[in-house]
Amino acid sequence: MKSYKDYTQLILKINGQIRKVIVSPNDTLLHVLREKLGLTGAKPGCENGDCGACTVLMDGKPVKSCIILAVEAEGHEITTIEGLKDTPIQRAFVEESAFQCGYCTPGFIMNCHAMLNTIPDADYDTIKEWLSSNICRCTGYEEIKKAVKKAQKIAGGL
Amino acid sequence: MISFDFEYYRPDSIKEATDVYAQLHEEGKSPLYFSGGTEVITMARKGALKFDALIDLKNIEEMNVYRKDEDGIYFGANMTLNEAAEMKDFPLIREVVRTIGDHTIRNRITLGGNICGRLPYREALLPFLLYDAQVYIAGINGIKALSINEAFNKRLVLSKGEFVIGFKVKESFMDTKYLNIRKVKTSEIDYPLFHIASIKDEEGIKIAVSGLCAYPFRSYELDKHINCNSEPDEIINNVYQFIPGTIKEDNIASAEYRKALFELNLEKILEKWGEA
Ligand SMILES: Cc1cc2nc3c(=O)[nH]c(=O)nc-3n(C[C@H](O)[C@H](O)[C@H](O)COP(=O)(O)OP(=O)(O)OC[C@H]3O[C@@H](n4cnc5c(N)ncnc54)[C@H](O)[C@@H]3O)c2cc1C
Ligand code: FES
Ligand code: FES
Repeated sequence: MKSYKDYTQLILKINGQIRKVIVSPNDTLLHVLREKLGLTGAKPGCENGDCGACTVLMDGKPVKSCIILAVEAEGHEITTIEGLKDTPIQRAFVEESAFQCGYCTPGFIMNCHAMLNTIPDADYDTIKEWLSSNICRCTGYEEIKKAVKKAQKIAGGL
Repeated sequence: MISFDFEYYRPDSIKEATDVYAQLHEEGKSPLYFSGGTEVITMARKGALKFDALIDLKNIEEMNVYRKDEDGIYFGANMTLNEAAEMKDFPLIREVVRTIGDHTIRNRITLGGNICGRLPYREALLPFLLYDAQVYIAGINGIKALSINEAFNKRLVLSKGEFVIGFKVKESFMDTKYLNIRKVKTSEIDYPLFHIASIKDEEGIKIAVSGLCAYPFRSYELDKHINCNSEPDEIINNVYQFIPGTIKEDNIASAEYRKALFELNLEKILEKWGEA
């Protein structure tokens, strides 16, 4: 049985790299990514599971890193926005200007990226179901929708 | 960030989990079981929940499986809501869990955590109440199986150190017809004003409700009342005698509004079953 009682070294696999970090059991994954590993792409918004700004991938699935403990991430593959390079959804976001202030963008991109990997030809209802997990305070939803459609085309899904 | 310190344990078996709970308890600590963590972390961060240790159940294999047994289909308590939604055997379970939270959060919320949680809604419970599922409970003295309708009274009644390892539903319910109505105030991603799930089998119409009172419920008296041969109007006029709690009044809706909407939708359900 694995246990953590105090500050301990944790080995995490993030963006394909092994990262060692000293954590306490009460550290959230979001906190460790941002404050201890310098991966500031995932953003703190509500820290309550509502807004999706902190979305990262765990074994390819989108999760909200504000309500996951860092110790829970042990043994799983974590991908943050820093781990994506020139993916179809990133290109589509730029081409469609799918951001204004950009605060929600990493969370949206991680969620869209996971969706397109899982269901490349996602239809309107599926896109709506997945992306309803993220909130954009600048309300740029139309452009985000266009970006998803474009990414599907770029990736050859449609 | 959670503002207090605690220990974290990740047992690999049911026995390790109950043993570590007993040991921590003996040491005078307050341990808490933990699965998806969405409620525990949120409440702890807000200072609404305190504990000295978390016992993470996610490594217990028995709790992560979905399988067909001779006497029914077993859902491990650690299945996330999205995993449960992928299982197509019971369309009502699929439909109910897909309305909870949002798609990303459903990658973490577990069946066990939702059903054993402290918040009033616990919507995943509704189909299991209607199907009179067996709930498997582990404790220091081993595993017991109970009817969920016996084990649930405002909350799943667990003794100190006990936790849920899974649920079993009879295959005969697979084709049972159902109706499911969930009303929210504005956004689809919100806790419900109320959620009524209903099935009809050879015993008649059965309903289970979340959001109307401070806890979800299925009441045999209510089922009996709904199945009496009275006119829908009369059934609805007398329905509150059989609802086991006061109607919720909060910043989302007044009790009067909830009641009016509930009555309208109950009528719809009765009409639809009448036509079926
Ligand atoms: C943004 C958001 C939206 C939500 N919307 C809804 C909604 O619309 N409807 C709804 O019903 N819920 C909703 N929820 C979910 C709900 O509020 C809880 O967060 C969730 O159900 C808890 O599940 P969990 O697996 O994360 O449990 P945890 O947080 O791990 O645990 C919750 C409680 O259950 C206990 N527990 C966990 N597993 C077990 C087990 N196997 N046996 C015994 N006890 C156990 C824990 O000790 C704890 O007390 C929402 C949550 C979020 C974050
Ligand atoms: S910061 Fe995590 S969901 Fe809002
Ligand atoms: S672009 Fe500003 S919050 Fe979405």
